[in-house]
Amino acid sequence: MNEEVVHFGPNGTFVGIRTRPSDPDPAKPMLVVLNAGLLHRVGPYRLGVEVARNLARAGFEVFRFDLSGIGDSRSRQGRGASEEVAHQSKAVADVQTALDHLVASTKVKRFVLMGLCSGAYNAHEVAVADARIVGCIFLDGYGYKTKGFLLHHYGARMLSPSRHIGFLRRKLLGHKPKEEVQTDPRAEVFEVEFPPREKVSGELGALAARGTELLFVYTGGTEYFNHRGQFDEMFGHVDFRGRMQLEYYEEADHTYTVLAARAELQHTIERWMTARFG
Amino acid sequence: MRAFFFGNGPRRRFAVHHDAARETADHAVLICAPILQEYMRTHWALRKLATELARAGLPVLRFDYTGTGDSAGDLSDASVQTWVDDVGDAATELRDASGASRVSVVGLRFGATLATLAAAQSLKVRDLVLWDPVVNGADYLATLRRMHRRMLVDPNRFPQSVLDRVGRGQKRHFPSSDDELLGFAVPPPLMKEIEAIDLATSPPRRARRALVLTTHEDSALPGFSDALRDADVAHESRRESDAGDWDAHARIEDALICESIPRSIVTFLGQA
Repeated sequence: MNEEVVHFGPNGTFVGIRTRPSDPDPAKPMLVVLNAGLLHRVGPYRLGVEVARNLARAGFEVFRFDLSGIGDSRSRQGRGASEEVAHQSKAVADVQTALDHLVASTKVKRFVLMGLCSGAYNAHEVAVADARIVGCIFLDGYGYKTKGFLLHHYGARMLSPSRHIGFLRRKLLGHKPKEEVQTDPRAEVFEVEFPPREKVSGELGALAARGTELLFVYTGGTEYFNHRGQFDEMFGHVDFRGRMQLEYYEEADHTYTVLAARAELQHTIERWMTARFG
Repeated sequence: MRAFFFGNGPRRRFAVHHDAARETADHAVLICAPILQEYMRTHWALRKLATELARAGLPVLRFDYTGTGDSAGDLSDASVQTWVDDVGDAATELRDASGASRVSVVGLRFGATLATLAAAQSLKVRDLVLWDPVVNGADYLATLRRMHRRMLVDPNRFPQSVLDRVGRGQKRHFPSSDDELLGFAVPPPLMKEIEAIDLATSPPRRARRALVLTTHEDSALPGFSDALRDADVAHESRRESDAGDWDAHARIEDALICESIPRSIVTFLGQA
């Protein structure tokens, strides 16, 4: 296994680390790990580094890099740098710049995107826009509170000692829930700052139809997903064509702070990559 | 700004060099980051500090210690002395990259500890900035252990259903082991080495002068100040705002936001 620093983009704007197995196979897709929130490419508790090295030992190339203005990458200059350009649009453009560079500089043509939190949302948006993406690993990605969510949420409270659970508020990761949840009394789902469920569902179906493999991993550390069956309530109507795998780690927190949880995640990722692309 | 690896094999370390914005006196700055979860919290703040120092005319090197960040290995490859050697090696890289012969060091938290130990051994340092230094290793680990226990039962981190089961004495599906500290498995030998650290017994004799910046009360600091005086290290201690909240388990993933400390550091290092 070897690692190299990669500077790419206009004026070397971006910094990334390419981790290569001893015997690279360009027919295998490369895993590209996206920033989790504002954390740099090392990842929460070095998750990015661990994933890269584990997968390299399993025979996959991995690329981790910082989006513009995050970690060691500079902010974009010129077009696309304006504040009016939506943050996510910039992130999608940054990832595509990375993919363009990797296609031009390596023999790899296909990619799997992995992201935690905002990294998962960005992975979804890039995959929708870019057919070079043949797989996605969404860690605590898009999710929608359903009736089942509320039942589990309040059910737990009715049974537990009186304790107030605050919302997850982190400057580095996660997102604030809406202060007021706007709900249509007729709606079955209660959305929290994500694109409409119908839009995301349609896009997931299109990704599966295109042949994209999808791994969804949710933890107990979000405020919007709290039981395994919720995935069916959210996306049960989507035809994933056998290309979807779901894992729910109720006892893991959002950032896999406990090592046993992180080890389980690493195993899941390695098994999935090997089974789908090995 | 240029990122690169230096060293080989298990001692291959990641670094980022910031060129100075303009020609300067023969002087460059090495930044020593915290370890464990504080590394994650402070990356952005230290990059910002590096940018401001470079803008002020000082080339800067940031780097990851052996077994941390993007450097080779993991904590089982690390020891306190390995990390102190990393500081020395990074200073050499900085001299080579910048052409400067005089190196100042800014250390934050355990990075300040390692910088102090390096300057107590063989590293000649022009100016040493110690930002919320970890003076007493045993106190530091005791605080991390307390934070770790609180983190494990934090209702803002784990769902109610899980905490209720834990409260009823059920085993966790993902149990935390004894050598875990806030997201990292710290090997027992490394834990013992950190526990044994008392900077009062290792004053940075090879530093021309030191600036100690603190944002919280630390009962070990007076003893360290005495040691600096006894070792004839010219020094100044200042209390600053920009609280790091280093002992707050609820803030272990909050970015360090600071305004006044970077300005103080740039001003101090800019003095002749």
